[in-house]
Amino acid sequence: MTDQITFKGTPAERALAEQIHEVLRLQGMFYPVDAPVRQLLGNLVGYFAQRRGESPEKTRSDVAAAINANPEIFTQEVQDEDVMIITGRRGAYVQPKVDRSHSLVTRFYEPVNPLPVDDISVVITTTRPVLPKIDPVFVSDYWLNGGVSSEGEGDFDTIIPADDLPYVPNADGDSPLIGQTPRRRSNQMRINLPQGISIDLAQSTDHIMALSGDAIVSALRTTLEKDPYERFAVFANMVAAKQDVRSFGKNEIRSITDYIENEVGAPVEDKDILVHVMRVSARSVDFEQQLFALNYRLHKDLEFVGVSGVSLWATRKLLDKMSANRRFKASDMGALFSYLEEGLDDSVAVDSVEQIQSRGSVSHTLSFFEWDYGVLPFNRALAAILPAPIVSRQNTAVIRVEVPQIPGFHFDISVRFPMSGRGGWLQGFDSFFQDQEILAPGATITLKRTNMANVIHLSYNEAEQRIESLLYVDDSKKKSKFAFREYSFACDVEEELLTTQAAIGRIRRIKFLELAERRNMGSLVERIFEAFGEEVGTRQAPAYQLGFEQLYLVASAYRSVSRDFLRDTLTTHPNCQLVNHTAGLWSCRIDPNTEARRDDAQFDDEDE
Amino acid sequence: MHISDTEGIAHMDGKPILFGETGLEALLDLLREAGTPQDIAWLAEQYIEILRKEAQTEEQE
Repeated sequence: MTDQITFKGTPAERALAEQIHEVLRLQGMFYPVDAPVRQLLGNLVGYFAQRRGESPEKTRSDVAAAINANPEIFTQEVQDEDVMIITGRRGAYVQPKVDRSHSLVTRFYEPVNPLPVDDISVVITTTRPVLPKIDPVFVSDYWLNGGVSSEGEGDFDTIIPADDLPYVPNADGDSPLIGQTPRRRSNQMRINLPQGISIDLAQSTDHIMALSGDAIVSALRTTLEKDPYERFAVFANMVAAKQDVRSFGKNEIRSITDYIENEVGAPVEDKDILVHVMRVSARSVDFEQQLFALNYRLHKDLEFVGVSGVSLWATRKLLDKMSANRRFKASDMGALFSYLEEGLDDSVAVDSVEQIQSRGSVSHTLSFFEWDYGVLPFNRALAAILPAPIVSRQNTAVIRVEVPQIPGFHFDISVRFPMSGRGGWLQGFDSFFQDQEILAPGATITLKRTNMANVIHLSYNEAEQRIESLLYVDDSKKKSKFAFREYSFACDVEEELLTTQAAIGRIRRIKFLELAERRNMGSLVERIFEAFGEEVGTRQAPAYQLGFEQLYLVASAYRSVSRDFLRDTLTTHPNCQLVNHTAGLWSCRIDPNTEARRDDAQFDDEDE
Repeated sequence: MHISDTEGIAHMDGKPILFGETGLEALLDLLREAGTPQDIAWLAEQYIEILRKEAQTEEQE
């Protein structure tokens, strides 16, 4: 209803304004009463021009005048080339306002009585609540694909379009395939190894073995060893049906143990055990089968320390006796070689493993630590010519070292294979390195493979007899310490690695560290800087500079170390930095309150 | 897994060929026949042959 609306302007304008509003009101007849009614000025002009029989120009002028005279009723919005006239059914369009001043959201943002800022912590916490972590549930692709492995697209099952299926008429003569949906074909010619490798059985056996032979053998070995029915007997690389393998009684095993420990006192070959303990003739028809049975049985109770082709057996007691070393525990020694398993083995930096294997020999320069303890690192270079473990869980192999330059001289060493993170090493050289008075720290020895898997040759460069005051560990008192004594040797040495008093005398400034204390390479490096370095800092902020090779010489007196390992230690040490790349000069800042500093100061006092 | 023939995928009825499960009895027969311990590499080749035969038989069925 427009009765309550008062229009302004001249009588003509008021009349036209009322008509315009009436038209718009009819247009919005079914709109909500507070909804806007919109119409273009051009359309209104066209409508009234026709109705009034006037020209559009004249009508446009009159309509515009009527609208302009009533701005409270008609709102105008300019659009592109026209003007939008907006009004409401009850007069002017008024945009409805919703009172949200009392809504929950508004009250939170604008509280009636805001808390003082001091108390804001009462209502606001800056601590993010810990969201519960939901562990993912892994669902194998096998099950997601309805029991079909998904490895390699198209490797296993294939969807066969109906058009590609062969035509096979059914009994009624109709094609059974027309109109059917594509269906799955199970590809039975593929198998999966436990390692996740897929094998196509459609290929030739030779091809398969060339491609995945190692993985297949490894998987088969695991399968046979873990057969729940225990139908297979596996030892090294040989397999037999278990029911065909003879058994050995407890008394027989006891006799074998007694023979190894008390009669021979050293690891014994399987053939000797069979002949001398079991009284089996070596010419017996089933000798090889009995050997297999013996090895299979002994693996349960004794320690296998053999290599490929030579099955040597020892008892735990005998091995403990053999490796009994008052100077170190195996666990401590293994920790000192762990860098080899951390990618810091630089033994194949010059010659590759392949080159070493084809040559069959490796040269190695002895450090003081190796010479003193009679050990060598089981690095990649030495591993290339030494036998590998051949039975599961084998951690030791005993091999013989022959020294052709000393006729008839040989000794046994233990190869301690790397195991669960700890590094491997060779031990048992002390009888040769020190007792013979031939070698000294800095000597280069060459280890060469022979045609016997358990025998290696050791050679060195002979030189004139020479006497030097060399570093040694004085164990004569309760507390060990470094000292120097006259020592005779007769080989070529790298002079910079010879631990003479002149070269390494300052080592006595450092507290003598037990083997277990030498694991922390960073701490050891700090001690070396303090004892050997040139002071470049202040009393409050001490710092030292030392050349890389001097660091290496001292560090290699304490423990097994490669140059890569030392470089990595210096690079990652927060207080060390390279000062001069060309001269290989490093500096190290020392915290004046470090434990090492206090220990060494104490040691100096005691020593004096 | 058994799915009805009416579903049009009866070929899924076939026994799956599993490395380490299928054909172990045949492998054992082979070892018994040989009478002496055999190299595991040779045995692995024989096992591949056994699995291939099993797979072909399954496909034909």
